[in-house]
Amino acid sequence: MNSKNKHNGYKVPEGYFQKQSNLIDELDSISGVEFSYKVPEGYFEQSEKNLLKLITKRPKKKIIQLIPYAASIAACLIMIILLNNPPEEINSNAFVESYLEEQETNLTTNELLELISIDEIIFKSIVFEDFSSETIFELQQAYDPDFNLIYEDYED
Amino acid sequence: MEKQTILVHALQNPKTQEAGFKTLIKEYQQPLYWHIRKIVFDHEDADDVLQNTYIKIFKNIKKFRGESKLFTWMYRIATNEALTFITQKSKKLGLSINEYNENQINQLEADVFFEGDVIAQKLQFAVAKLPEKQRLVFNLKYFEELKYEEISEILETSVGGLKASYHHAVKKIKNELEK
Repeated sequence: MNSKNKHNGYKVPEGYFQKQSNLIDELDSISGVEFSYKVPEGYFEQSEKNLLKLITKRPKKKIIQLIPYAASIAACLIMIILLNNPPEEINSNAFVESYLEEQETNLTTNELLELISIDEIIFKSIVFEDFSSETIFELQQAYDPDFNLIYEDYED
Repeated sequence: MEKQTILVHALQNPKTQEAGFKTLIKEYQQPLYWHIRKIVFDHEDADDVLQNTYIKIFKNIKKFRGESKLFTWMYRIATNEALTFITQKSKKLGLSINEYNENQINQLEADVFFEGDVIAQKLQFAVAKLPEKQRLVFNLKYFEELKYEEISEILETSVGGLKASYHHAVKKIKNELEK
């Protein structure tokens, strides 16, 4: 593939890329930057001890701040299921899980949330980690604008 | 065995976990602190976020499967924690995130833990004024000299997107420094 095809005929002004790398060089020249931010004397030594204490004496269980919202999210999802299945079928987490795996709903977040207002929903439990952070965030932002998403689970 | 693998094994084994954490704190406390500090600006806030970051690292280390580098995983946690901290604090003060960041930048001059020559300060102010994403990319690329691939793992953004952000950031900083 020749270079003309590679760039689909687009051109840049002469010396353009040279100019961009010059920008970085110029920044480099002005910043033999000693960090402008400072820390109190002895901070890192003390912090190291504090962090170790924190980790060795941490409480066994930490309350996950998302839990109060989990009920609402679960309610939304159960409602979708109720609309499509007789109640007697909804008797286990396994059912809910398999339903969620099989179905792809086209409902928007707001449509899901409107379903919350129906009172007679009874649900048992849904494992919170089954939902992606993005889904939870979207639902909760719509449900409560003051909501702060707290990340509790990190996978690499 | 690679150093990271040994450390991860130590961290995931209850018998060696504490020793592993000592190493983790010794090796990464400072880079993580500086990364966080450049997001939240204030020392006390950075200290709080650093603690939260290590708690999250400790809680989640069992889920680390070695599919990314340990340090990029920790940087990702630190970044999320710092951004969450800013969101929460700005809401408490009834400010938008931009307003909150502007306040923080304006307070830098009076901050006893912020000093340096005029040019260094000017550069830090220019960086601080960048939009959040560009500031993160610039800090990681320029100051911490990470590769785009590493930054991509931390910020979960494509390399192409990062390059564009970095390019815009450099241009804005240059303009700001020429004022």
